[in-house]
Amino acid sequence: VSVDHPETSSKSNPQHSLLSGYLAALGKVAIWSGFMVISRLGGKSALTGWDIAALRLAFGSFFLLPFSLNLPRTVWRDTRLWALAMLGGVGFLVLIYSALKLAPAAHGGILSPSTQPFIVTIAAFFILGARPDRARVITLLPIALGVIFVAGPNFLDGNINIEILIGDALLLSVSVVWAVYSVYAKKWSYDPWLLTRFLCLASALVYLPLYLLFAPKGIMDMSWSMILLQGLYQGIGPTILAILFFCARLNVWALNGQA
Amino acid sequence: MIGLVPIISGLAAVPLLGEPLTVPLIIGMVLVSAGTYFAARPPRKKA
Repeated sequence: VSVDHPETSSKSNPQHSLLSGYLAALGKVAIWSGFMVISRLGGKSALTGWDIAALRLAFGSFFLLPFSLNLPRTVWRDTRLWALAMLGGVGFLVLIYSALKLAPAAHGGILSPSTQPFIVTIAAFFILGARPDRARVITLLPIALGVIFVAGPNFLDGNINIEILIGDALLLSVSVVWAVYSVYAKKWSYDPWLLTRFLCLASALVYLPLYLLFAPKGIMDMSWSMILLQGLYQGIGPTILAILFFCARLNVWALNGQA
Repeated sequence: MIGLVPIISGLAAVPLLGEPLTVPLIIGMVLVSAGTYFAARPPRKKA
């Protein structure tokens, strides 16, 4: 997989490499923004959150399998990798798609990825013992205020929408799950590309049989176009491209001393 | 740049999904985006 090769391109032209880094970051933003909208589009249809998670894992595994045949056997016996897969794979997917079945896309954008700095700081304090300094706490205050502005009106107007409330709670729980996953992924320092492949394949191995046997399904009532849209976007965008953009950005920005 | 996600997804949801864009939502978007931006900035070195 080609993410970027700083040895051959970026080193010779720092401005070009910086531009590539910003383009990779913009690509990641586009994928995550699209993820909220497309997932919510699926959520507003007859598809259940379980269906969308299954489509993502099935399509993602289909595309990642050819690149995963050379995974060493020891990887499959690594309990830490399995723990990460259950947390950042199955746990994250079931929660986020269930949340976006209930809450608007705007709530998803605000409450899920963007609260990460806030929740990761708390998780890092408890897991790694990393105490945030005062400046860090001050920079996190706008995020806390933003969350209050989004969730608050539901309580203030006296007419509480239980569906959105549960969706918002699920979105915040997504943030917690993802923050814990991020901190442990950083602590255990796995290669991002290895983690991407294992996360998808191991999650599919565990989740898909359970989904087929037990989960409520709405997929039979859906058009092929919606099934393909969800499968292709979810399976390729946030599962594969996002991590490639991440790697490309790290390569380029590290070269420029900005990582 | 991940701070742009709330603004883009919130704005895109209006025409694409027909979701409402309220004043508290706009304020929430701006605050969360600003917080994410500040949180991602490298810390200033002490003199």
